[in-house]
This record gives sequence, structure tokens and C-alpha cells, in this order.
Amino acid sequence: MCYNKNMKKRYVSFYCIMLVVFCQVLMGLTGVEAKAMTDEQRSALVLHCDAIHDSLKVLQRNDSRTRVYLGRYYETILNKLITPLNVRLVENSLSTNALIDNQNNFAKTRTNFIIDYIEYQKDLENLVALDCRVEPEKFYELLVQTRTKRKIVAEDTKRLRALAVSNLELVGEMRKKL
Amino acid sequence: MTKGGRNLIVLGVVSVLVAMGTTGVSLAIYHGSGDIYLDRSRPGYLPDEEEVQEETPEEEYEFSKSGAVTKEVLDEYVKALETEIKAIDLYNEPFDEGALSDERLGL
Repeated sequence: MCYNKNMKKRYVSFYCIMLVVFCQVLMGLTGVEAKAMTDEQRSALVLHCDAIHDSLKVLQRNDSRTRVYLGRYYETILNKLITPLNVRLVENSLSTNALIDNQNNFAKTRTNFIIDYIEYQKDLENLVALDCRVEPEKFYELLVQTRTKRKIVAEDTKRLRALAVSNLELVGEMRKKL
Repeated sequence: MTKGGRNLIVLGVVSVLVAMGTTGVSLAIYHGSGDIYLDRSRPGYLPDEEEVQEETPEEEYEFSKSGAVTKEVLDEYVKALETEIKAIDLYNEPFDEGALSDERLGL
């Protein structure tokens, strides 16, 4: 009887630990950061609410400009340079797997950039719409989430630049062989 | 009120409701697709004056899909791609994390 009770306790403890581990893994996967706001931050948020709101609006406007211009450059690189080059290489039986992979990766990352930017902007728009004086906790929580999404967009831009540079290198190697 | 007059009012009301419904659907698509975030003609997002002056519509280069592949052709391609990369590099660290940091927002 006593043995069964102990076993039961062990099972309960085991499942509790597993649940905690599962939650942590899930939070890690979804990028949720459990960053709590300090009392000083809460006070600063309420005190400088208007200034923060204004700087977020400026950021939103600047981001929109950056997105439009970068998007145009990425589109030019993919549709007016990389893709026509690969078509021409196939026609001349000079196509390489590396260049085709590069094109596919560029196209995939560009699509991610478009989607990730929309996700980030939706959060930023919700953040701008929130009144930081009334809901400082909610505002800060959303701010942390928006930061994570902004970071993803930044990573997309870095990846796209790296892929464009890699394409240059691959074409340089091909040129040497001609 | 005559029957014709009543029908005219009903037609007017129905037309307004249909117009409101289709406008609502259009706005939902405009917002949901994310086009709203690329629309720089919406209030508060209009390009700056100097930005408009900067934009001189030049004919954009496009690499030809057909023809022989020579060193000269690849040089032309490399030059065009380098130009695009340089243009991208003008945006120093786009979407950098710092812009939303506690320090920058004064928190």
C-alpha cells in the first residue's frame, strides 16, 4: 500500500517535470521571451508614453520606406538578374546546381521576407494603437514580441544580401572556367 | 408615398449597403494581404519631397535570357549585380534590433 503511494508520488513528480520541460521547449520554439517589466520601466513607460508613441510612428514610417526600397532591389536581383542568367546558362548547357540552389534559396528567403515583414508590421501597428498609459504591461509584452519579429526581418535581409554575394562568387568561379 | 417612390428608396438603401459591404471586403483584403504596409500613398506615409526628387525613372537593366555566355557577358552581369548590392548596402543594418530596444525608447 505504502509502496503504491510512493510510486504514485513519483509518477506525479515525473509528469510535472515533463510538463515544465515541455512548456519551456514550446516557449523556446515560439520565440516567446518571458521578460518581465520592472517597476522603473513601468513608470518610464507611463511618463514618456507620448514620446514613445511618436518614435514608434516615425519607426513605422521609416520601416515602410526601407521595405519598399529593399523589396524593389530584391525583386530586381531575382527577376532581372539571377533568373535570366540561369535560363541563359541552361540554354547554353552551362547550368550548375549551385547557381540553381542559390536562385531557389533567394526566392524562398524573399518570400519569407515579405511574409515576416507583414507579421512584424501587424504587431507594430497594434503596438502603436495601444495606450501605454492605460495598459503598460500589455504594451511591454507586445513590444517584446514585436522586437522578436523585427529581428526575424533583419535576419531575412542579411540572408538575402549573403545570397546575392554568394551568387557573385559563383558567377566569378564560372567566369574563370570559361 | 407611391409604390414607385418606396421602391426607389429601397433601391437607394440596398445600393448603399452593397457599396458598404464591398468596400469593407476590399479593405479587409487590403489589410489582410499586407498591401497596406507597402502603400506609401496612405496618410502619414507619403514620400518626402527630397525622396520624390531622388527618384529619376531610369530604364532598369535586365539581363538577357538568351544568347551566348562569354566572359564579357558575365562581367556585365556582375557589374549589374554589384550595383544592386551597393544600393542595398546604403541601408545600414536594416530593421536593426536597437530601434525597439529599452534604451532607445527610454525605458
